[in-house]
Amino acid sequence: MDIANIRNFCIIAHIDHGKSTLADRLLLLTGTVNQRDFKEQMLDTMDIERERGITVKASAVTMLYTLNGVEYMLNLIDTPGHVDFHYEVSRSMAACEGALLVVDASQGVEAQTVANAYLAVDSDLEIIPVINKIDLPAAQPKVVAEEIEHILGINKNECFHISAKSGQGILELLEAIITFLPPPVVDLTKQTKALIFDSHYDEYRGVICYVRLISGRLNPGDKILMMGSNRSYQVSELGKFTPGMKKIDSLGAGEVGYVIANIRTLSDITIGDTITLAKEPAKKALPGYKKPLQMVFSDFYPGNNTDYTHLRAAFEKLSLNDASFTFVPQNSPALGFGFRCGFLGLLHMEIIQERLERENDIEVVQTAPTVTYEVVETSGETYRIDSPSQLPEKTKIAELREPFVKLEIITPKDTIGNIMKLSEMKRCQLIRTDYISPTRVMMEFRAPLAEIVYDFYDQLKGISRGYATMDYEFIGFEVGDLVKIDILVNKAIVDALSLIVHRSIAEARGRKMLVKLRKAIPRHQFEIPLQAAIGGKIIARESIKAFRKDVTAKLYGGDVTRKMKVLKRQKEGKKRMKSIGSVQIPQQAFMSILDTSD
Amino acid sequence: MPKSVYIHIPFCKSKCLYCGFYSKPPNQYDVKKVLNAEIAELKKSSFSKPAQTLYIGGGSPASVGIDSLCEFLSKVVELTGKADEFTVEINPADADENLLVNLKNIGVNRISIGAQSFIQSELDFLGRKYSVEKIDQTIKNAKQAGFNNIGLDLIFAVPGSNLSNWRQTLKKAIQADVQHISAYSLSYEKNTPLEKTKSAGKVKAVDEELDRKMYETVIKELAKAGFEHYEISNFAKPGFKCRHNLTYWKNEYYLGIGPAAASYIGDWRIENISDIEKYVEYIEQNENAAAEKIKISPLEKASQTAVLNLRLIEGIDLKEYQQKTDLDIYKFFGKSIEKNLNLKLLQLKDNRLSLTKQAMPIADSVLCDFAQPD
Repeated sequence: MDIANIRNFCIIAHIDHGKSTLADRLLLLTGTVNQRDFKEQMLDTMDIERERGITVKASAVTMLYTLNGVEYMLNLIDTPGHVDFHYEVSRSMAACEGALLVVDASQGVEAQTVANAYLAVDSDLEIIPVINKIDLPAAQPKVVAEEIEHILGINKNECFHISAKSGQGILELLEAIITFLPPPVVDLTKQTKALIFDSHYDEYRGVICYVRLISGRLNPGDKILMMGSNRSYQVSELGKFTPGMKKIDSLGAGEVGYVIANIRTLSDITIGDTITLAKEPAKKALPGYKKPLQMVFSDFYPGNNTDYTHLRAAFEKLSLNDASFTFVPQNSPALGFGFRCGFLGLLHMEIIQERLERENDIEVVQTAPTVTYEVVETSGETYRIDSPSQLPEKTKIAELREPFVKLEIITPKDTIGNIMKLSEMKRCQLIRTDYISPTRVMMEFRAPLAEIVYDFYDQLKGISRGYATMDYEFIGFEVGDLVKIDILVNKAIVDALSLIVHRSIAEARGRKMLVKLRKAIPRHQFEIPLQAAIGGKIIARESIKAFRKDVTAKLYGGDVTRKMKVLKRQKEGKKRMKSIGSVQIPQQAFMSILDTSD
Repeated sequence: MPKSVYIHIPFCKSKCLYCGFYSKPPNQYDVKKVLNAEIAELKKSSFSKPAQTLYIGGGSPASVGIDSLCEFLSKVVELTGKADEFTVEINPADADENLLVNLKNIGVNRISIGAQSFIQSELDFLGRKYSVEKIDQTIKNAKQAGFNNIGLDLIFAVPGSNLSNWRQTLKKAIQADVQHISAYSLSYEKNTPLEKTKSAGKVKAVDEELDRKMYETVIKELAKAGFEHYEISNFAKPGFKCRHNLTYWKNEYYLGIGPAAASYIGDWRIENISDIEKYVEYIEQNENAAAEKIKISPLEKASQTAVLNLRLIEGIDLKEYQQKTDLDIYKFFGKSIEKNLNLKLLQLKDNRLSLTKQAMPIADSVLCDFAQPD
């Protein structure tokens, strides 16, 4: 196909603003999918995506549409909307020339609308603003258009007003994609260059690379070279997503499709790498991507009915399809053998945990998530740690740095007071406040990631009646007055409960952790002292009183069967907990300590 | 073959608030027919004759009337032979001089009186329909009838009670000069009116600390009065342990007769149906009355033996345990034993593994470790 008749675009939006519904609608209108085969959220193939109504993995689909007698090839690259998946969003954008920026007509511009729009601008994409859900009773398309103009600098008169649900305005939008978005830039170099912008693993066919051809041509049988890893393979199949995989004979410059080349595991390729031909390689690779940065870490230990090897196999299987989380073996004196896992963010962590349990039928004990810290030793050596237990001796530490993020919150103006209170509590520093409309503001903070990583979002939703939205972006490590809190249960340090926090809140946090633990650990046959310590100094104490009476008064001939059942349950309850010394700690205790609510 | 026989009389004139046993008012049933069915069941059951122990419980056996009860017991004795220990439970509300004399004549040699408390307000709260004086009178009548093996059942930790009330009850029980005392902390059995009022928040259980104090008090006071503490809730003057109940705790076989009665025979645990009419129907059709029959595996037997033995103050005789279960206790419960020894909740003395004094009030938390292998 003539490169002038190709359009590569993505849809970006805040979560729930109708991105996937719009994609569905375009598939229907172009006849890519017929009504009979249609199901909602066509592009979301994972169960978890359909159930949660979110997109986790990017995906690509090719549609054909004829306008004024000319056939166009429209390549839609679907992207996740959640803040944790910035990385995947920016990756997809690199394969596009244009973006549909979808905004809900009743919700208006949200934090992730802004974040995604900025990413699109940074990637030099042409943006078509789209106001969706205009058929809702609460729709305020005019106000929303004003917001778009004010905050994003896009002319409000350029907005398309649509309802992806009913189909209203979709035809006009579809034609605008052809007339308004530019075709791929023609790269006249002869050598083949293809950008790998995503991949997935198929049990039968191995790794499937999602590629955008920048120049040249790919054919089945071609010997290809991955320019970054210097590995070579032979192309066994090329194709397009329509949205199912459809074999084709050749992929040309400007086109989007997939490459199968007998690649065994996902770790053999790097997203962002450039594919070229072995016999006539390109001189320079494409710019590519930065490696995904894991910001949130948590330990996973095998739970009940699960052993270590089982858990390892499950992680290996999952990593085939998600190269953005890491797992390394970890041995905790308290919890035994498990894995230290790194995630892009909390939602990412939650999704991995859910997929682990759901797709592998295993149980895990998970510790509270923490962030990465940067240690500068007195010797000058600088390195990052992702667990409080990796912290060196106090005397060796010259500096301890924590990750900071730029945090953007969009919220109704009458909630500013509450948000200021929350941000103070969380050590966030207000940088600026912008009115995006007479009733809504965008607030920008410098925030320590550790403070917003856990329950910040829930609290934000709570104090804003659900209206506030947020997005954050890592900006760097900064020195902080940080200390490690150790928790002693029955006088022994439980490493999995240690926590790094800012000194200003250490005592309060220590006390709160003990209160939570006191509630989470059941009473035992003896009193259990709980202590929080910083560098050997006890800063807080609690104790779990022993139970004083637990005995069946009557046990005669008719009671044996029933009573044995009760006692069996009692023992099973004990078994479900992690034994640390003679104290049994239930799994939820390990998560409960980070819950800062009262 | 079981050497002990339990016979359940499923009748009681009025149900006490806390009672979880199966019993019905006798005036709503053809009592003769029911008792005849029990005789029929006993007749076709196998047990070693003469039975070593025979225990008639309820309900309240005497609630069916003296004549009916005596006639029934005479038939029972014909079948079981003269048991070494022949106990009948007595509710003071149903007891008079005549009853006790008649029981004595039939060959009953031990009576267990459901006194529960010597504090009138507690009796009233529990739904016991007699006075403190009636208890005194019943004990007196029993002694006059010639009984020299009398047991009293007592309940402590009754809502609203306090330590001095409990001491008062204990004092009176000791003064009554009986041979056996069972002292139970009030339990809130499922589906009893007491449990329901408690769940509804209308009644509050006494707090754990007081409950424990009361338990420690009974252990101390009865020891002073010459009783041997031999099971978690049972105390006896020398030579007067209840041999029938020891069968349960030593995990030996026993035969249960009557609606809702339980048997343990040949590694089967059997429970008769808890429905008087159906029970009679089954027996009359010459079927067995079992509602539940569970085969006890060797491992379950090992668990049950350990749990039941540990309720005895003398604990598990490890040599006997090995012989009886053919299993090595350390193989299945080694971790639990070690842990509880370290916590000083179990002790090992003369090849016996038993609860320590401090483990007694929290015995279930130790016993549960033996409910299934580690």
